[in-house]
Amino acid sequence: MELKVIRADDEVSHIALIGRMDHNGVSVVELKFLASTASRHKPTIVDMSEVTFVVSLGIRMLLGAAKSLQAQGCKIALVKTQPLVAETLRLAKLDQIFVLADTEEEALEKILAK
Amino acid sequence: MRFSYRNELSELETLAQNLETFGDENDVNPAIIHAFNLCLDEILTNIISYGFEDVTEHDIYLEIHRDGEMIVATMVDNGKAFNPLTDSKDPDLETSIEDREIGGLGIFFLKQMMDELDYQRMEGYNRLTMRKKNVELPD
Repeated sequence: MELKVIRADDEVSHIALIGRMDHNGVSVVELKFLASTASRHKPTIVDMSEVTFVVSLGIRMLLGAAKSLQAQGCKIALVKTQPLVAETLRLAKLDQIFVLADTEEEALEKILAK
Repeated sequence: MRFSYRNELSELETLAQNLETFGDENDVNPAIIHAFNLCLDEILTNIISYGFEDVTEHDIYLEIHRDGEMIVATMVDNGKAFNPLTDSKDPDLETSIEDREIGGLGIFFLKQMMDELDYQRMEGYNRLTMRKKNVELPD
């Protein structure tokens, strides 16, 4: 699994996750993921378009960032999630916690809304 | 098809490859293979992480086949007795994010995604069978 930083400025954090969010994938990216999201204390966009698989460990990683960001009053959006991955996230009721968006523009508008 | 795995988490990648092979050779909808991959990954992770009290090598077995419209997978291990249907509490997914726990989510996926589940403990082995109907792809 890979993590690409797309944008990291004073307004937002925007990253992309790429690959399988399984045990191995999470172990590879978890520290960088938390450093690029939760630790920056900014509204956050996670591009999920190239994530093909997610297990409960991956959901724990996403939830960890969401908990930390929401405690700081920041929203976190998952963007362009593939249908099978979206179904897994829906079963875990992550749709109640994350902003879900089809485009980066939509995500940006929602996470920056007061 | 029959596969076996050592009690090492690196085997999860082999599991995924094996399921891709099974799906390709048996004309199974990729969405169904995705569901089996998720559920079997969670079960195998549980077995490897919590099933054995010693540090020696153990084998865990998977048998998967197509029975008409149904895909049937059975995972067998000689770890501690664990009935995922009764020994795992479902997570409270309605609670607020502050209180949201992740424990039990993997087993919850199993219960939600599979059509039928059956657990037996026989002669020191856990034997978990899961069944899900294949969904034909349009021609």
